[in-house]
Amino acid sequence: MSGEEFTRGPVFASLPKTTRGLPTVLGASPNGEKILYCNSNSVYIVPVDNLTEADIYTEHPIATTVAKMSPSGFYVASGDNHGNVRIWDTVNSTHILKATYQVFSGPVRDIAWNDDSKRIAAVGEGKERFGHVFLFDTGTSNGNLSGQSRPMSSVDFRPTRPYRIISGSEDNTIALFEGPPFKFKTTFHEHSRFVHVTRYSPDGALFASAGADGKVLLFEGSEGSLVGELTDPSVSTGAAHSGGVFGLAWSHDNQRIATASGDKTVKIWNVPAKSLEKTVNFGNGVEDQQLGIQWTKKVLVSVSLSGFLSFINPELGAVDTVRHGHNKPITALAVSSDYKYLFTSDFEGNTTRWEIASGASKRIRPVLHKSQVVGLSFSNKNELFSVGWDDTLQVTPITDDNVEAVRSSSVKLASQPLGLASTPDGSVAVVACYKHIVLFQNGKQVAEVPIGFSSSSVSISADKSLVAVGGQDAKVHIYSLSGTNLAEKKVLTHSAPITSVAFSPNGEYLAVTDSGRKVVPYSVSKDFVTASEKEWTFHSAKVNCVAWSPDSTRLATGGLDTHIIVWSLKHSGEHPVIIRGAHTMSPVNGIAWLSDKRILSVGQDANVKQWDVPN
Amino acid sequence: MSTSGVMVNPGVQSTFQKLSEGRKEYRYIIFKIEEREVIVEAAVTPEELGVTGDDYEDSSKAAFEKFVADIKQRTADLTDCRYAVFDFKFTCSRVGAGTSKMDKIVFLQICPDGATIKKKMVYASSASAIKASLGTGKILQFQISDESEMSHKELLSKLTEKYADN
Repeated sequence: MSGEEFTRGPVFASLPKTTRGLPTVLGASPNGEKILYCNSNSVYIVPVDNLTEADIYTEHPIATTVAKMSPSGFYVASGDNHGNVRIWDTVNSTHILKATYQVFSGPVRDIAWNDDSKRIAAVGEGKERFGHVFLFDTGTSNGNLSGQSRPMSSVDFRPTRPYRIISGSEDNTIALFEGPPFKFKTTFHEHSRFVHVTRYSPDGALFASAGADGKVLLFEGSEGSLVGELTDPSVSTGAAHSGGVFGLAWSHDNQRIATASGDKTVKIWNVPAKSLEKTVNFGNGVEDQQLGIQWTKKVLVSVSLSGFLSFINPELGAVDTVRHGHNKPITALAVSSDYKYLFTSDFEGNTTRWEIASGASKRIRPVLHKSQVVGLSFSNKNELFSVGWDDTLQVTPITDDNVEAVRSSSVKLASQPLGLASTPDGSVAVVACYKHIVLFQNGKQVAEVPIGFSSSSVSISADKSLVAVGGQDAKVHIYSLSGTNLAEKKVLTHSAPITSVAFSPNGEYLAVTDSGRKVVPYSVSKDFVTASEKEWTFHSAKVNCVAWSPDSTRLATGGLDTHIIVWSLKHSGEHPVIIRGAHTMSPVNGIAWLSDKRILSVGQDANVKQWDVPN
Repeated sequence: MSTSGVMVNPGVQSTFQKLSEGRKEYRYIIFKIEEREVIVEAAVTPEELGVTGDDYEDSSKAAFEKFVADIKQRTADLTDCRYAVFDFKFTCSRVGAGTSKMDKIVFLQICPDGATIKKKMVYASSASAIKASLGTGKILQFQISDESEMSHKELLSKLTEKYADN
């Protein structure tokens, strides 16, 4: 065999995880070209100016909370919900683990490195203590961060000597520690509610704090005397924001501060003048609250409650671009017939449209379904068909202009849907429900056939003559379709519940996967005999999804075992191409082909990945 | 979690550091709640205590008696509440290791039965705040509701029980 069997293509990374009322801490590389954030068990290192790249660290055993890169750029320290801090190398793609320390027993909320990359401070919601400062290479304690009486939310090192640590806590105080070794010096009681964020200016001359009371305060960097407050005259309380302030970032020249707030604005302030420079307004919904901000080389990156990353030009005070997407498991996908657009839906019913070539993404609004979406398909008449656990089928015409203001028509289904199939022109759509098969023609329901088994998946042949329905009864039920009449024609028996079925584009084959790890291609014209020379049982767990290449010669499957396997009917007796851990630590939920040589997959990790699979 | 809204004065932690670290300047500290804030009422050095002789020899008995007398005086014969930390020096014998000198800081939450219900409530609900800001991981805690629970022998037996076999 010559060359690589497969290569990894572009990645559309998941968005950061957010929690209402808590700051989302974004990290940045020292050169300001990449940002770091967390979602589920992974840490993402994402370039600011490239939508199709991401370095994903997946070694945390439980949900991650915060990640910060060392000022040297060689290491990342990432924290998780059990108080573990993992320190790992950024140079090698394998991210060799330098050390892991449990600093306390509870979620880590913020991590800071000192300027020589030797010390790390981590704070959070420990039981016995709320913060710890230690030397990164040995883990030796480098002081004591006690002195605040409730969980600490934010921590930062003074980047110049004499060294200081500042922290913000839910006991409404800011604490100042002197060191090393770091010892409690004093607390400041200027905030009247939780202190969410405390940050030193890059030159260490000042530090700023912000909290749930909407105030932004400036302190002298070494002794901590209050030097001023940033206020916006248009805010009735006389504070900086009319909602809690969750994020604060300094510009690299020490002259400006950007704050992100629950009042759905980002404000940019001039520090020497203590004046407001720019206000960036987001929407009016709860999901538009801004929970974190980071000042990168060129732009400000702000994260909203929905997880969207907004890239703000600080000179203009305007949003350049917004990265939509998902931070919840992606459950369904559809690709337009010209392979230009990708549609994905997540566990919470949100649907996003992606431009496959550029990675640009737009959330479809209003939300189509209020709960998990289980099936999507996009017709060549630009209609998006979707079914979800709100027991409806939605038909939504989507054009370039109306993505954020769609009008969909909704049809209530007889029972819970589990699968959706439609012809490329959208004229016929079949929904496999828990107790029914429902047939639609041109968006109108024309037949509702009760079934004696519970279905799991459905496919319709290109010539609209056959419908295959996979069942929890470990059988594939083949129906012939004439007009609006479905008649059961044949039953194929497997040994385990069927998970997905797919007719090949040329109508010659039917691929079936089951939870007993098997992938079986059947020959339609030869009365459904198995078309492969040998048994295709290379998955090591349940197979979730299957898709045919456009030329009908290969098929790709994704499974619970995190692998993607590409099978060739021309060489059906040979070992298939196995992409191991395609979505590392996370099941593959959906798969599609973009050409005869490229596949696209979505996973439980909320990532969209592409793979080149030359023959 | 403190829910009383009582704040902890920065002096609490910095005074405690002088008792727990370095030269161990203080022998005991008494804290009280005043105007919704925990403050240091008294921090007493060994010299001020005027105890002569080896503390380990008598397991801090003389020092502790003076501490109890001080508490009783400050609480008007146990009709008020206080928090206190005391640096307890004692000897204990361990199986296989002979006798060894030990030095443990104890945190006392003194809520006597004679105090008003309101005071007891405020001190009880604010205890977690002061304990958290002291960093309670390394110190032993005792709740005291009458004088007998504050007797030297009672505390010593609890301490030796805890440290005798580990």
